[in-house]
Amino acid sequence: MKNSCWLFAILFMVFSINQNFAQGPPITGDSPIMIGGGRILLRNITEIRSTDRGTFVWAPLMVHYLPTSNSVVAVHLPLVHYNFDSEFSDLGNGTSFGDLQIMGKYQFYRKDGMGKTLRMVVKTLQNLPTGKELGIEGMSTGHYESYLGTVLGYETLEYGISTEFGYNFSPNGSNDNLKLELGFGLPLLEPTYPVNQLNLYFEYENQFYTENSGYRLLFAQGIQYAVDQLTLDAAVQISLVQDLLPEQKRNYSIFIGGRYVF
Amino acid sequence: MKSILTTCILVLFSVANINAQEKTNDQFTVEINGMGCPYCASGVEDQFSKLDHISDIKIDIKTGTLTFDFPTTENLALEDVKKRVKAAGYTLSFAKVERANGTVETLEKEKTKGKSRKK
Repeated sequence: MKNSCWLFAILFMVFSINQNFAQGPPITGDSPIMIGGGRILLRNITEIRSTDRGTFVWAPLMVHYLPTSNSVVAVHLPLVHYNFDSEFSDLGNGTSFGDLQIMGKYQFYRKDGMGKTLRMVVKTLQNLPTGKELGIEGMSTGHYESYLGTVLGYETLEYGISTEFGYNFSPNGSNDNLKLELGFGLPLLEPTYPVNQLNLYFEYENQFYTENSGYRLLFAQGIQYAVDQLTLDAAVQISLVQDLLPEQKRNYSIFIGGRYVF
Repeated sequence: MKSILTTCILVLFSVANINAQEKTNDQFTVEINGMGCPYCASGVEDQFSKLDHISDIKIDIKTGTLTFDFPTTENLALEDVKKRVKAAGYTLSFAKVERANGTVETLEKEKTKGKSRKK
């Protein structure tokens, strides 16, 4: 509770200071803003996740293609490195191909104004069982999973908010969860074009696990530098609340990556 | 006296030549709605960069204004400009072209005003 108060206080102060600036794409979350038809975005956002069971690294090559100005199809090809603690598992350590992901987004609502926009997209993410059965959520489960959600974003030159709401289905139900994300991006530099931005991100992720009535609240603090078509991202994600099974708990995650738009 | 006359003639020719060069391009000003971040503007620039012979593309992110020059011989229509703004994922609010021959055309909120006048 004390931590939450501090976070809200920091958010309030940063919002107060940065009333005249805008921001870029979220780091751990998603955005409904699309960057024009016929374009390709290459992205990597490597996650180093520390848990009591061990340390896991997810390094995907993400290829996003926009066939039109309001749609995206994407494939995520991940490499996973795992190092299980021998106390908790006999899976040892190694590197393997993770669960391949296919994503699709369609923007179904757009309301533009001068220097502001409100957009909504419907999103699906299909997790294919190409990885080993390591039980590492979002990295290598070896099981099929299907996510359906909607992303809402409101961006103006003064402030920006993005939120995502969706449900993840898994065949055995163990990873069925309802997800709610909320992100704020705050620039430290005045908006210019060509792009030259330094942004701070505050991103919250809630997950309600329906099978075991578990709940998790994650908070990510990120920083982003964007210049022309290149964007570099870094974030640290911690768990604020974890009412979960021991194997689902996380200590922290570090995200490092970049993206380039063609 | 002869050299002064020669200089004057040369200067006049130079000025006439500069004016002739300025008039080879149409000047476009496009106000775009929805560009809520600098990152958004890259999609707009990308769509217009695909046009051959386009020059001097500038985007003012604070006012949402795109300006560029285009050869008058190509006769780029404001409707084509609107299509490119749409392909970038944004909404055209207002567009104006000052043709090299002095004609001004405007397009406002996806409805052609149809007004054309000599400068």
